[in-house]
Amino acid sequence: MTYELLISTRKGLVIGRSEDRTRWEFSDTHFMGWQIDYAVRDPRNGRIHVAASHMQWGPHIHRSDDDGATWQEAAAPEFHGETYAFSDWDMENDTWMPAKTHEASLERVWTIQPGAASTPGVLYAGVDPAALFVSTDDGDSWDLCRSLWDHETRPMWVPGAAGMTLHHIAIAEDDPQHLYVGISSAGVFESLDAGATWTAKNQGCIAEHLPDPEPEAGQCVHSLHLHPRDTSRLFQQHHPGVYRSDDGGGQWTPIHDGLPGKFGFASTIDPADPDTFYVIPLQEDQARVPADGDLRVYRTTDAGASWEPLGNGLPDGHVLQGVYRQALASDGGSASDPLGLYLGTSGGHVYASVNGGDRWSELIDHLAPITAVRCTAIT
Amino acid sequence: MAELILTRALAAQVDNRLKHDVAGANVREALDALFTQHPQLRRYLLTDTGAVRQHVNVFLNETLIEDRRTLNDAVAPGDTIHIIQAVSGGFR
Repeated sequence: MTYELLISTRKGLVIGRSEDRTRWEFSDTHFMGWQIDYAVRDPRNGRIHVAASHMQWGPHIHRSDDDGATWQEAAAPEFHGETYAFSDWDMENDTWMPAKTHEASLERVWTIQPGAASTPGVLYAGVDPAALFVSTDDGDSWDLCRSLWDHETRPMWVPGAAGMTLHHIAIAEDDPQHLYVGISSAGVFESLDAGATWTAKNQGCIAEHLPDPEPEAGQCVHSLHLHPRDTSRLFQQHHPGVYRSDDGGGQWTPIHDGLPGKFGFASTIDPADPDTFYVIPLQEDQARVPADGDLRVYRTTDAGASWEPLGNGLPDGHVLQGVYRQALASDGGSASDPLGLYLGTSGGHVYASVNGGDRWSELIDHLAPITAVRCTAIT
Repeated sequence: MAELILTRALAAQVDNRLKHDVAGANVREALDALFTQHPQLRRYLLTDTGAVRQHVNVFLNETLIEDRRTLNDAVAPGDTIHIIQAVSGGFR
């Protein structure tokens, strides 16, 4: 079995390949100088999709059908005269300011999510400004998901530090019409009809950045995961909290007791175990660096009742690098290979574990800040 | 015809061809003529609203155009249009 590690950085894409997940060969840099916002392999057809952006030349999508040997520029989602409005909170007068209207233009593609195995050709793209785009022709064209764009809670959506972004998309393995999206700062939304209608699913989450701490929308989800074996089980790293849902997002339960901090961005699951979840706690949002200066992954194997720090092989002391929201991933593991985990830091280091986080080793360093990592077993 | 000259980084998208003859009565029409020849360049230069990207500069006869949205500056035959990345867009 060959493992492929797609490392997206602010200066280009690096592709790692390994037969044993210990000895890795890394490619030359693809798209040198471009910020790679996300890269993912579609397991259905082997195509690699790359979202790249540049301060001067804007956001673009490229793809490869030959493992990165050659690339073709593909269509990018496009807003055609759409506008959106949002309000800022008036701190002095303790009220919302009048909403301002903005013309929509694609700023960045945050994620590209291949559809279910039973829906070949279907891709989803999450973008800034927050919108979901759908392709039914494998990325040759994209359509705006209007029901989400026009959602009744839209006036409550506000941009975060990274913009107003739709950054996580999850599809239920047992029902390709059952979708979730995570939006900053809007929250979690669920569709049971392939995107025709959406319901905000944020009950139980606490928005410490708002005067009403439990709004229907306006929540700042940082990363979101739906478990493939139990599609009532979700986890999220929220701006100020870590949460679990056991009923498909109907109610969220805080599970951050036992962590050194409840702030963070990146998280991932073990697809073999619905009770296992990984997070990387950072100091509160004023600092956004690892708690106590030590880079640590925390693992729960009991759905958040308890947490275990995993630091064997990770750097200790004076760590001023964080891990962005898409820069922690698993390879899914297999019958023969325990779960592999991969994290990339904002300082350009990649660490990996081939035993579910018990021990880590550095794979490559001196890269640019890492925006995303994704690892896939390919045969 | 006006002559449109691309910066080298942009010309890399069109087989490194720097100079392009374009017809048009104003900058918008001249750019549209360029995009007819090379549709892939539109996204590199313009946002979804049709405005010139923040860190791209368009010079008409060596004068920076100020109308970056409607692109109504008149273009006469023999004029030269330069498209160059702005130094403000130097990537972090």
